[in-house]
Amino acid sequence: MEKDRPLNQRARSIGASAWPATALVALLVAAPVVVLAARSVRGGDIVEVWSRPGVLDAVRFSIVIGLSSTLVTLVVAAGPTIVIGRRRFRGRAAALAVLTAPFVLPTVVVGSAFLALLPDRFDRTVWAVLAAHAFFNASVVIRQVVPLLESVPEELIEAARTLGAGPVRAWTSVAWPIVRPAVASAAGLVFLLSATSFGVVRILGGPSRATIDVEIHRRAVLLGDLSGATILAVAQTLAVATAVSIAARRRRPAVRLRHSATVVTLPTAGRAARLVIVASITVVVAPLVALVASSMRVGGDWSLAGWRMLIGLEPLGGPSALRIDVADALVRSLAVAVGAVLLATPLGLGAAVAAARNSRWRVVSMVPAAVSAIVVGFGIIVTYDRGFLDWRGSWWLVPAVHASVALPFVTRVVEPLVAALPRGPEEAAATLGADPWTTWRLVRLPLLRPAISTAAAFSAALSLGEFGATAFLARTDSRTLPVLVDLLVGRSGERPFAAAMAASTLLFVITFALVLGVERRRST
Amino acid sequence: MSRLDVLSLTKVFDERTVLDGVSFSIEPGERLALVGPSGCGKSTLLRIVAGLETPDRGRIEIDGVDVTNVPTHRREVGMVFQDDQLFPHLDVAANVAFALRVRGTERSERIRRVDQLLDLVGMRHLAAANVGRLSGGEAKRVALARSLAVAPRVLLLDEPLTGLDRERRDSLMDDLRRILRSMAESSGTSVVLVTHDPDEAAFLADRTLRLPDGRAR
Repeated sequence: MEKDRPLNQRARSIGASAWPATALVALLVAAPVVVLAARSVRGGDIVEVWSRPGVLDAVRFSIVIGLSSTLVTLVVAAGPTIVIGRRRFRGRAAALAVLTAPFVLPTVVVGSAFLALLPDRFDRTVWAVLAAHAFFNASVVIRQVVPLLESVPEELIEAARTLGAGPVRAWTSVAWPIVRPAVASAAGLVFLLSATSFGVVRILGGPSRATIDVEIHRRAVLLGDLSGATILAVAQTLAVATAVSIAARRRRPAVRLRHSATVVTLPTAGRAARLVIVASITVVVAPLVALVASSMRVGGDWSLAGWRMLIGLEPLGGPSALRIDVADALVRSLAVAVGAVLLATPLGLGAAVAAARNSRWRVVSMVPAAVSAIVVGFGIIVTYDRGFLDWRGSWWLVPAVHASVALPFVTRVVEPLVAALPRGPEEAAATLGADPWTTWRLVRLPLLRPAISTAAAFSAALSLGEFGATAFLARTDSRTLPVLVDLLVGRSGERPFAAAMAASTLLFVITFALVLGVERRRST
Repeated sequence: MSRLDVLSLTKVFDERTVLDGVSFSIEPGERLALVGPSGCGKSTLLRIVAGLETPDRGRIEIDGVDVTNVPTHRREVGMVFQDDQLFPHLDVAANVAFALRVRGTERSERIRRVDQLLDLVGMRHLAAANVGRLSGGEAKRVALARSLAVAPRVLLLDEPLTGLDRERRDSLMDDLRRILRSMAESSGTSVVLVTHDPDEAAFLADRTLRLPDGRAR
């Protein structure tokens, strides 16, 4: 293999470009997990932990909320997925962008939005959690299934009809086998996201409901039960890692269309189909409108106090011991996001380049995806806590952790494009005297620019919304907006609530704008 | 001293020998055409001379120096690819300026030189055009101008007239001969040209070498 590479590219095929990403993942994800695992074995409480109050309840709740959220999500997503995947209508691309955008919304934003939308009697109930999970995860299903569904040629279904199949039979016998793997993998992902849900459950679930992730946080931070938190974290990581590796192995489609490149002409949407789209968009928009509205209300009256607190024009008030600087959190969140993007984008690109050459490097960016952010945050505070390795208060820690969380997304976006880069322009550049580095700078990077900016926008959105790891790492003087929203929502009083809603609204606007901007450019 | 020596070059792809002990030499300013049916290894030979492929056996020398293990960008070899390989993210002028930019040529000098090259190939009027909009003949002219920007010691042309209609082919063929001759005179650039058309070879080159089954005869 090596011999077939042009001379000017040989030296770099040892995966050196993935080393910085590997170092980041090793330090901030792998090492903390290893330390947690070692402690859980050493502690000797492995069996006893499960009888502590709340632990088995959390496991049970995780499974129940995971399964029920998956079921509700699949039901809710079915309509819009089928219509967008099989029908043509004006504004289809825009509808797809809006319906898939909730996925990047920060979990605390989704939590706050449902808090704002639902009547008080639903607050802190399992129904609120279910609704928020479905809102959030329907976009996962749509995003994964629509591309396959729209690739099924209408002629294939018509052919089945001419062979005597009724409309339902034609669908189940032709389209379903093609999309089934995508539906299954989406369902698996939704289960995983719901069972390990943290932000939504913290805000909407109330004190009596905890997923494993919430329980880890509760034990570590509120109860000081480090051994319990550790064992739960390790068990959770083992379960998630097993699920992720099984899913990764099974990603191959069961049925592959012969002409995947052919453009399929879809039938025009009828009235019912349009209604489904309008209803779906309404469902996506309603909580967000409620969120924006409640950011401008204090005590039943219209007021901009929440926003004034956010930009520092008005203090939050309350006892001085609990004084919270909202404007400070806003500035910090933006700075952290910039740092995370600057780190995740080049490191993810390097990992993608190595993975495009040798798929074994893909494991580097899969590791952060397989470890929940809660476990990462908890692992870091127990691992880096002494001497020169006491990083807990370092300014760079939160941006670096956000970068490791964003890494899988960056590589997933960039790697296929790196792999598909044509060889020709590089060879032409070499014959024109460009060394490998110059070829990168003047040819490959410009050709990859669209993918890189998409990856950067996603990283920024992820960092702005990151809550799980930051909940452990942020200190009183270094809170980000999501941490603050969580704190304010838990406070009693109208003013903190308005400030929380304003902060959530701002997070929502920024992340939505980032993602819609990227989707728009991709579709043009 | 020869400009280019190809010495006993052998290349095997998937157990199929495409070049089997090929040898030839060309002098400074000389134009050699390699002819032969498709699949006889002509393009592979050019790619080995350019450093884009490595030979299984044999040597490449340029001006008496063994360059077999020298990477492409240090060989001072220009190449016009069969499918042009213009940079899709750059306009016509920026494509032509690429080699000058790589060498850090000053901006004013770059502009002057690009204008000159575009004049040479008759493409000045399309300097700001998107390369995706060019016709086959226009793209070939731009690719030629791009490869000449820094006067290579050896210019490699891979089927430069393939895929053009009759009229465009004839006009480009005339221009190509004129340009190659003037490059030979002004900078001593030698040319290795690959074609399957013996007439084209006779018109453009001083000498023709047949590669019937991968062996130069």
